[in-house]
Amino acid sequence: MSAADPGMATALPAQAGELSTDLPAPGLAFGIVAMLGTTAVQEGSGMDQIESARTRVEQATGLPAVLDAAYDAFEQMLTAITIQQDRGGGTFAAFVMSGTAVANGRDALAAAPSLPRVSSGDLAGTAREPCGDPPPQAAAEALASLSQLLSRRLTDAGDHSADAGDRVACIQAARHAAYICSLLGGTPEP
Amino acid sequence: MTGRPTFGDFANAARGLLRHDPGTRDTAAGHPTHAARAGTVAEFTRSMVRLLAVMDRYCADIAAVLATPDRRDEARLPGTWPHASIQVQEALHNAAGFLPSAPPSTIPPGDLHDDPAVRRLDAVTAVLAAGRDLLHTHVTARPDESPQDRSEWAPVATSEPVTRALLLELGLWARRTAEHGARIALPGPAARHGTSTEREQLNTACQWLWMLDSAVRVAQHHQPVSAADVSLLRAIPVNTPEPRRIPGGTETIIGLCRGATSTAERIRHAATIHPVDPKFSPALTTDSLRHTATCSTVISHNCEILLRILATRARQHGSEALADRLLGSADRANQARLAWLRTARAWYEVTSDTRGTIAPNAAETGDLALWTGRLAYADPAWTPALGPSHPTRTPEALAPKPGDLPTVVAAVHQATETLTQIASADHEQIEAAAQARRLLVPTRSLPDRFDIPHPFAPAPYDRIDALFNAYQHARTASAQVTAVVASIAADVRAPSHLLTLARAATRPKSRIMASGHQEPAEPEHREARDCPGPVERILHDLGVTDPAMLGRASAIDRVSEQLILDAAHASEPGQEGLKAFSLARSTGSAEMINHVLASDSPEIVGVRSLSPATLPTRGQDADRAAGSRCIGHQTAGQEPQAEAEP
Repeated sequence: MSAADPGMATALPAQAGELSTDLPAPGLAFGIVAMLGTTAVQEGSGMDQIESARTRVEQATGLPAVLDAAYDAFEQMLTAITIQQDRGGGTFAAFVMSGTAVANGRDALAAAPSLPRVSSGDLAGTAREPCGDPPPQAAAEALASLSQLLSRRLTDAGDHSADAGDRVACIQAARHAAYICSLLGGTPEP
Repeated sequence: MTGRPTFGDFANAARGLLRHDPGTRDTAAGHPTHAARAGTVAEFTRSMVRLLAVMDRYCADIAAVLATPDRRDEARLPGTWPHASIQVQEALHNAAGFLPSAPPSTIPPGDLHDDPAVRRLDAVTAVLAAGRDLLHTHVTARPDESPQDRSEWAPVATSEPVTRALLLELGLWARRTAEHGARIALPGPAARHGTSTEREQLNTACQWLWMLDSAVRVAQHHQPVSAADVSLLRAIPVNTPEPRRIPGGTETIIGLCRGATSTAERIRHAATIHPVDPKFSPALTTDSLRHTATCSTVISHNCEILLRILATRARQHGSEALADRLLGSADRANQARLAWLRTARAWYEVTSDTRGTIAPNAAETGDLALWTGRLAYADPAWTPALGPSHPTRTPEALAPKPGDLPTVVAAVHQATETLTQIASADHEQIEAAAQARRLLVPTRSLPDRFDIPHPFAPAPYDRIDALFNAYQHARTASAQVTAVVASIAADVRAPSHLLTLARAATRPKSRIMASGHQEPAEPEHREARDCPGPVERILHDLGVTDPAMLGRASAIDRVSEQLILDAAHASEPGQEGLKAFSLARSTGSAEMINHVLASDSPEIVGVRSLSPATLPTRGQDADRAAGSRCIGHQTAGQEPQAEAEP
């Protein structure tokens, strides 16, 4: 999915009400997918967003940027995980547990004093729009990899932070990221 | 339902001790046949005083439930349990009033009395005191002395149905004690040392214990206590939850079921006694509530899997109807799973003012997810984390034999019951937390036009509503699956069917009374008929063993008993009746009256002329009063007639 795709999704929250965070009805999600055209795009879109989030986290420099990118990455993970939860099956428990860990990690970062109050990334506003349904194993691998990266970068950021609030936020969020990694079959970095 | 001692353990022990040879000529019954030291009547009486003191405490507990001031009218109606509870208290006070207050025991603490009968009665006293202590572990007193629940069993232990069952049990104890005491009291060829006054006092006390039992039996006759309520009373465990357990990977199916049950009980217990104040407590954290909702989702999922496997297994065993019901319950569990998933997701949008820690009780929902997961999946080291593969157990592995199925059903029942309570408790907590404006959202999640200079802001109403609705659905769906599984558990006699009984016992009275099809409890009074009457006893004393002769003697005793009852009825009402004939001025008549009082006939309570002597009015001397009244066989001032001094 191109960078324009998230932009398409950003238009949707206004339709549902500014403060409403309810998941869109399944029909609405399918409608979005229908607009995108092909099944291939449908399966690839979620992965693309995770990949985009990963790129942002990797390329972020400076504490505010790392926090900003990490916060949005958690939001993107939540969207991808929600889609996987709906599939049920043998991976259900792992994705349910991961969802909560992601929300905890995001909230930990939200308390960081250096977190910009408004997202600066292209991914802003796309967090709740399901856009793709990759196979569970592929999704788990991508999410585990992203959480591993988050854990590493947040640990580093926390280590170099002068502010105690930032340090605590980074450590807690990194811990949650490491847990997500282990839940989804990855190997958290020590 | 786990390995904890229950009230039934103590009640059984008491029954066993009191059942011992009441009708045979052993040392305890006052007919020593060997060289064992038989104590005196006074020693037995002292022991009995201690027992009556314990029974009196039971009586007070019972009256506090059944004979409350707002039920004064009902308490006046003969045949009702409130009425019986008052009669029982009076009978017990009368019984105790005729016995001298117990002087300090000369037996050093820890030592046992030489006399087996006294020793046995002391053991009964200790067992009953421990049983009452067990019941009291569930309730404590607040600083203002009002009761406070300390476990999920507290409402059960203090419920009307269970209290009636306790009164029924008390009647049995009293009856058995009377049988023992009367044998000690009556003089005979091999009686114990004792003055006529001591015998008379003891016998009168025993007669009052029979009256106590009769009052209970009348109530039982009119409003039978169900066998289920007796089972429930006996199942009340000591309020000491088992220690927290984590599956180790080597457990059998039975072990996993036990672990799931004990963890479920621990969670419910903690929810009862450690509710945090949602308006202020820092223990109410987002992490705890999220973790609980998440684990509840996983538990529901595991329960669904287990119920589907059990359905397959039931079909393999040819139980098509059961299989269909299990499948239906699995569908309900799926609905609960979806409802809990919605709750977990609602928490993605809301947080609270305290984060970062998970309360111990919330952590244990993770344990329950693990226990149920280990049951559902073949991997003995299963965790919610993704692994190479997660095949579920085969039906043959989950329930190898048909008899194993109820055990797994019980574990599922425990889990779903716990989820229902969690949904209810957490719903209440977040409602209060919302009122206290403790529910927040990250400011970044709000539209840009909200210029809030803080990382978190009060949660918008729509998000709070979504959370409330999600919990409401989770509670409803969990209750529905619990109801279905409970029904299956009752039908397959799973151990967890007591949970259903416990919930029913604490429902409003009308609901309980509506379940009129329940089987009444089968009291053990029939065994008492094995006690020989006076004629039969004399034949025993004579060494007669011929069944035909003993049968004739028993028949004579029954006819005599009925004749006395008929005569007593004929003398009613308002006459002094049999009292006026000084009926019991001989040992033989005392024994006959005892036998009538010990009979199964519910007519006894209605025959006031057969009532034992009543207590003196305040200020009167007990002995003088006893001497001036007919007490069924002897008077206090009467000279001993057949004083045996072995």
